[in-house]
Amino acid sequence: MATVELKQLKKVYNRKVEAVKGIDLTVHDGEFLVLLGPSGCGKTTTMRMIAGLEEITEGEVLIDGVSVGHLPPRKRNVSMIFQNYAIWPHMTVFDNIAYALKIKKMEKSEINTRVKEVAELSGIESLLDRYPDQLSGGQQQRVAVARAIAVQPLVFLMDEPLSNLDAKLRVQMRTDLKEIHRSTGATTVFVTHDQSEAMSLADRIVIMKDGAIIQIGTPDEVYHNSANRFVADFIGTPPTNFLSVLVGDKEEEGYRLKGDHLDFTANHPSLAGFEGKTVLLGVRPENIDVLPEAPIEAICRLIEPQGSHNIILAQIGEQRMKLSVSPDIGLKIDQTFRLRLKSGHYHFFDPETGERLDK
Amino acid sequence: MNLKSMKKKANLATLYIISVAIISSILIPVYFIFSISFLSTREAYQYPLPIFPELRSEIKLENGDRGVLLSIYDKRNDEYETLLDTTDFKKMSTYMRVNLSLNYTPEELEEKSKLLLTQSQVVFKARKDVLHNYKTFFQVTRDAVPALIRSIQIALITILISLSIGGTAGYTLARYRFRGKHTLKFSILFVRMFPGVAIAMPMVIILANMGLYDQPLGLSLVYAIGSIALTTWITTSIFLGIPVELEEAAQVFGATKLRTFINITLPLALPGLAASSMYAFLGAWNETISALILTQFKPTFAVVVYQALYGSTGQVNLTAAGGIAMAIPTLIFTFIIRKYINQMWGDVSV
Repeated sequence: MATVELKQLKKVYNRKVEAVKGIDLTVHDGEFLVLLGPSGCGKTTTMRMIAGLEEITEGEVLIDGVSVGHLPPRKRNVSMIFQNYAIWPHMTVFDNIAYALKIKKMEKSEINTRVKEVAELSGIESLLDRYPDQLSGGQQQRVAVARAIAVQPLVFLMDEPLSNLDAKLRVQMRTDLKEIHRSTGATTVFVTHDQSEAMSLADRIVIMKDGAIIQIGTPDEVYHNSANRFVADFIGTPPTNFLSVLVGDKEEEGYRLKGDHLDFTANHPSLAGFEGKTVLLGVRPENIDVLPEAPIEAICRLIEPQGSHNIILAQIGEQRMKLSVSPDIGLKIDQTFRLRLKSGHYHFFDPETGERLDK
Repeated sequence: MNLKSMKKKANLATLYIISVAIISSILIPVYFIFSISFLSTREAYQYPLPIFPELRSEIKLENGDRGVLLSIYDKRNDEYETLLDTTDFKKMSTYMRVNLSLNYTPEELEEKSKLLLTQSQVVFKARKDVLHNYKTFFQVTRDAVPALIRSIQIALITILISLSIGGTAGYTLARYRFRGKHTLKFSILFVRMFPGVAIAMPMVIILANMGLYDQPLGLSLVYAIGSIALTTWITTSIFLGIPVELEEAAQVFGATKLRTFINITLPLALPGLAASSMYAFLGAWNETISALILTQFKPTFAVVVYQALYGSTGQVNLTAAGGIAMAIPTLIFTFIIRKYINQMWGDVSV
């Protein structure tokens, strides 16, 4: 088991495009770390630099304290699961899994037991004689996982391994991957652009944007204490709602907040110094209560039933927001209703920099 | 029956007619050369040409003015055609072998004609030697067997050169990014702009200076120039079709770059490599004009066949036999290669 450290890691393409802008990151021993971000944010490039598939422009990658930047992939003791599985079509499942072991010149009997072991762990023990084109997408994925486990690497790298699977299988593989991680306890770096995948898998999430790290934290931290507007917007389905409000003077119960069809008070210490300025109020859909005596008037525009809850598209003046409410409330389309933000469950963001005010 | 299904059937019929027309425009000439290669010289110069070669000839011997009169039964006119009147059985034997593809020794003929003392005519069915043209072709044509060996040599060397140079060039063009890549890719095709004849004279001089004039290796080099271009283009698209992740995976799982190429890339590219070696083979095997100019005492098989048609031995049935003989190695090669061309893996395709 191992730790991975990135020190001022930088990648520049064609001497112009900065894909990764010098990031610092430590992956702890046995940790499941997810690199999350929109496409083009540099998360895959970062992982490929750890794997050695991409040349490092500047900075260092250390595995267990040893700098590996100059080593070819085969000497880094990592294993990787690729987005399109990358299992070799001209080899049987057995040969795919055994390939790396054969290169290591392992004993034949030892290879056999190891392959059987990992095949069982990934649930493909009956497919060992098949060729990849005789397998379904999910089975191919399992072969890729088995192949990665078989080499018993210091670090697992997974590059969007679930994105080619259909929705149901994806959720199932998520659980399986997490179980495998628990049983092997290997340090894992997982790349994805799917925030719900990141939330359900990660010990810690690293949110990246434009080649830089925006926030590092546990799923709870990045969800409830998003560092800035980008994270608040990126994490969660539906994402955080943003309302722009004008901060009034401090009154007895708190600051007076005014906006389009909005007028309420909030006691939020971070607002000090923003009197007379416009800020963004961010609130998660589930942190809004629908009550007859609530201060804000809204119109119900759309209802998206989810079974356990309904997603309501509400209109407040010109601004729209989504809220997640119990189906028992019984709202109808175009009905006017009143809502309230749960106190303490909303944050304020600087409208220019997007940073959260109470950080 | 409604109009719609009638129309559908009419369309299908048209499709069949067109495909039959296309197939027969290829197969009929092939059949003709095949059939001609089994005709005797007499048959080959008849008009119109017989569609099927005769397997047996009916021969009649009778007493003539000078000696024994040799006649052959002509089915078309339903009469005997007199061919020869001689006492020299050696001459008759030769005549029968050369013109009728019938193998009878002078002694056998003499034996048969002895019967003429007691009866007015001797009629017998003679079995034609169907492979006569093939035997003759390899006997009378100067150098046919060595030429065949040379042609095989040339074709194999051409494949070797064009796969090793064109294949690596194709891999480079598919996998690496560098300045002037597209210009290079297109400029490779320039060499195919010039017809072989146009550059044959300069080639003679260059090859002579290299000491490779009239040498199999020299011809291989000339052919390779053209097929390297094609091989490069074909293999580029093949290597592009192999996901780079398959190679990266091998490298992550412990393989060196060379090992990755041998274990992963090469087996996956095999169908495409086989296809382009097929092109190289056919190009080198069939080419006649450059070979005619660039060889003197060591012709290729294609040149030998060509000379059989226009040289002093020129006979259409012999040339046909040569042509068919020339097609056989191609067929064998195709059958061997076919196995690999069909061996495509998953989403890796040519």
